[in-house]
Amino acid sequence: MQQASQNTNPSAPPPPLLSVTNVEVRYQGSILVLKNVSLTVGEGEIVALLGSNGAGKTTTLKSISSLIQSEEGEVTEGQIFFSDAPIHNQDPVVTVRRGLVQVMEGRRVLEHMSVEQNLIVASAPIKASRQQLNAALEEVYGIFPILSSFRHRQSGYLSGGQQQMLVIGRALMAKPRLLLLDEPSLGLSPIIVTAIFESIARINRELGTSILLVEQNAKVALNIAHRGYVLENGRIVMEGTREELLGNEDLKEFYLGISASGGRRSFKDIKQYRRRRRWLG
Amino acid sequence: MLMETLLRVLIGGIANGAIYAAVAVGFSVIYRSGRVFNIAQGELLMIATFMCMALFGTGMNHWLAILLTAIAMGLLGLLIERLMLRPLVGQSEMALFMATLGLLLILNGLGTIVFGTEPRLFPDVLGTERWRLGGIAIKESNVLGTALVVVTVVALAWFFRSTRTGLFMTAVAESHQIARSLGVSVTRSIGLSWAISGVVATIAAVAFMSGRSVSPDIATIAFVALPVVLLSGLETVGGVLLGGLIVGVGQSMAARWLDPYTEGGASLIFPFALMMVILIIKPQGLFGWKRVERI
Repeated sequence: MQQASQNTNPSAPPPPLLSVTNVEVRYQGSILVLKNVSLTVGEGEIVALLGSNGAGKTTTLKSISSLIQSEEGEVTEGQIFFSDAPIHNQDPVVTVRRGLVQVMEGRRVLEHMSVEQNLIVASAPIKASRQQLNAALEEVYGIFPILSSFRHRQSGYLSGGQQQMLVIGRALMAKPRLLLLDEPSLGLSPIIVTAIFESIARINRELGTSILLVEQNAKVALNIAHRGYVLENGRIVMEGTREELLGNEDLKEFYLGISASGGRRSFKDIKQYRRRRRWLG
Repeated sequence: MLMETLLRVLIGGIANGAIYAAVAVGFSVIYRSGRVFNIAQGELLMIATFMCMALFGTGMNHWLAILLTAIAMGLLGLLIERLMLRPLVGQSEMALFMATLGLLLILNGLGTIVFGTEPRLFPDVLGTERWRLGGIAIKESNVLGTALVVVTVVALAWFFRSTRTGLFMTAVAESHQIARSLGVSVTRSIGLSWAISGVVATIAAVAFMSGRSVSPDIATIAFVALPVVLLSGLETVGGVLLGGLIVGVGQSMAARWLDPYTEGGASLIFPFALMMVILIIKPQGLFGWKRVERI
């Protein structure tokens, strides 16, 4: 499916910004979490990585950003290339300096620091002058105006939605070319989720930042994504453009909650899915 | 008469509180960056003191000698971090603490071997004048020493809050993982914090030892700085000034009014009794970080 979309370009397609090839990840040298995962993110794309709890979505992101290292995880097979250079199993700080920033799951603000201090810390990878720093701050405040009015407030006391905006805005301070977002909708009200996803689309549109988006909420993710992958039990089981995924019966049924018949889901269907899942997994 | 006694107690307490604060700030700078409770902070103070005196002995300018000591102590801090703590990255806080306990024993033993146990006089680098305030004499060296400590602590507090490098280090204090995900080098921050701590030990030595007789067991002063750091909170920098003031003045008052009845015990016990009360009422200390819980 993915090949088809790339072949529409008559000349040879440019190499993707991020390419994950046949990656296998183990924790503590033995616990196998990802098996043969391959995915790409092109320049300027939003790519969704969908899947349920424990499918390996977060591990995929952390293996790209090398943050698995602090959890004794390691890429044991395969390669990860970011703008034509290998980045797997390296110092995460180097990855960030190259322009790849992960926003971790669960709104990890520096809670004893103010909103603005959080943002300033995140400018660490770029050697910014005072003016450049101020310009970067204004850019983030332009995307999330609420942060501007709370700039001197201690970030631990912001609401969940504001904290999510802060961690996304904070990642922008490093001027990333690729942003990895881990479940930005987690634990937030539908209205806030809509607002945050609008901002994510805007970051992609206006700043040209490519985005790899991990989500359980397939509906909101596919709303803004150009392409997507479905991860189950540490393997990619499905991939395609937004339209292909939205049209896929299994995905509709099990991730979007719309059954083929339009009626209530029966246990029979789920049983059929379980069988299928064993097959694919 | 009472006023004069009170003033004298207060002034003595402030001078003592300043040295506690100076040692305490060394503790907190290191604790913040790496969650390491460096029990050997007093030994760093002792080494700085004797290194200073050794350089004074060569006849060089006092301030040059102090500057060289500060640089050497900064390097020593870096060296300790590099050789002892970096290999232990990822180990439990207890393992790190035990490592610093080992450091304490090593430095203590080395101090005794190299410098001997004989008390020696530290030169009066901060002047010998006595000033009069409300009928009582105040030593110039005490005033200048206290001022030096206050300036140092305020400067450090400003550094951690307002400079970029300082903010990076504060971020490391909050969470190594978040800092790393933002491209802040955790190892660099920890190394820098040890270097700062070494320099602070030099400043503390100059501020407090001037005109005193010193021997390697001055390192034990760090144990009184322990209640100060717990009272003010492990993560605070500026807060150690208030913590030092409370412990210093409290101890000085206990020495004046309670010691006659307790054969000198009250002033020794006071800091630790206070520490226990604080741990029960406010475990994170006056200015320490309380984790914000939000649902």
